[in-house]
Amino acid sequence: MRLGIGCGWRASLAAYIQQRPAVTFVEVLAEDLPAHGPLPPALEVLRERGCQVVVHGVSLSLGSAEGLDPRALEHLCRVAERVRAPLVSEHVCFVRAGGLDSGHLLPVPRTAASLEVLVENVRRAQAALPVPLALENIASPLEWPGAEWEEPVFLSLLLEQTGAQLLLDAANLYAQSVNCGVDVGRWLDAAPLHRLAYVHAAGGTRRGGLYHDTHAHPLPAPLLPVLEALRARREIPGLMLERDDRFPPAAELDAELAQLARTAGLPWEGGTGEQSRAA
Amino acid sequence: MPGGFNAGRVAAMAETLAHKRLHAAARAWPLLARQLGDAWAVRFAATCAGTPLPPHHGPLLDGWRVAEVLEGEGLLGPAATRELLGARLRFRRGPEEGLQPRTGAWAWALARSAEGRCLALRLAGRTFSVWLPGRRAPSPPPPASSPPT
Repeated sequence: MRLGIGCGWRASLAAYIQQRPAVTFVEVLAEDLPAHGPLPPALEVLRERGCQVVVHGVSLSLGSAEGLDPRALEHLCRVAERVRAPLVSEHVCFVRAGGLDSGHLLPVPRTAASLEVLVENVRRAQAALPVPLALENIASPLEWPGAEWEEPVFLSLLLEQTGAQLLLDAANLYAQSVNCGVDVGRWLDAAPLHRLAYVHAAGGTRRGGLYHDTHAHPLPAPLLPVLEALRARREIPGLMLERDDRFPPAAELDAELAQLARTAGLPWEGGTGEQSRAA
Repeated sequence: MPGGFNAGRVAAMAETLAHKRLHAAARAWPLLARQLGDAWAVRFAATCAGTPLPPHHGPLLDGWRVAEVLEGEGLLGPAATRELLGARLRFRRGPEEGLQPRTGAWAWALARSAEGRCLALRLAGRTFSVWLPGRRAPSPPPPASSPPT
């Protein structure tokens, strides 16, 4: 499945995306959409023009030893059905434990016991979801002690045992290289790139000696070599920009999407329909 | 802290979580956050720092608690009052401090602002609100700047 160039759909970006037919897919946050009642009209317009809508979850907590929250899974399934998503994605992380919610994607221990929990939860999610599931690597400056595998090997084992696809967050990989000394080339060599479904790119900033993947700042220049290193190893079937806050002018978003498209070897026909026709 | 963890990184993660929680509540309650301005972080910390993030509708419930504190103090501005009423029309406080969606055909809610009480009604998908008798005149805005002394 080839998704092309995409953008994270946020209400603040709805008008911008609607005016960019070159955006061939969007990713919606499942938690932002209702399971019942009307969907945002702007999203319906995108679907009618053939733009694919991928559903992205942030609250399933696939790494929770206590199992999945049936309400969160039911919501994810319902939203995927409603937008006729070709794919659903979630994270290799946990957000809930012991009745508490972190509100943030937290890393799982890379151990056999943790892998077993993830495999069971992923299989349960796959059994309920109407479409394939892709799993994303997260950014975390904090790691559990006693890791039995490096992250890309852990991801390979998880995807191999579940058949899930890979959502590679290049910005998270860049953050790990800055904060934890991860070697991007070695990481990519060991990662299950043959299962690559699509790729995230986002901006961030350095604060307190750490790189933060904020989704609220411009793309960092060193992110592009990460994408080039990925493209050298595997064709990129889809690449999207995540921007969640401090939304820049349209020209700045156009420039970032065009830059991403060039780097990934994906078509970006001028951004707006007007520019496409003028070309 | 269990052995083997990097204490500095754990502290950085804790700060990230607190920062994210604060901003998530501000996004869920933009009018309340705007009313409080720089005081938002202080109010939020005083109200929510000692309680865990609720597992469902966390940002909404976090901001709700801040709004209720201001309501109790008679300091809720008109815009934030409408925001609180909107939340009360959509949800009711359920068991264990959670929020339950109000799915009925109609709902009413009451809130007390700095200027008096406001009644809101949701009916057939539309929302109506009315200030109850006894509304005080809005406070005059503060002067833009003080002359040099």
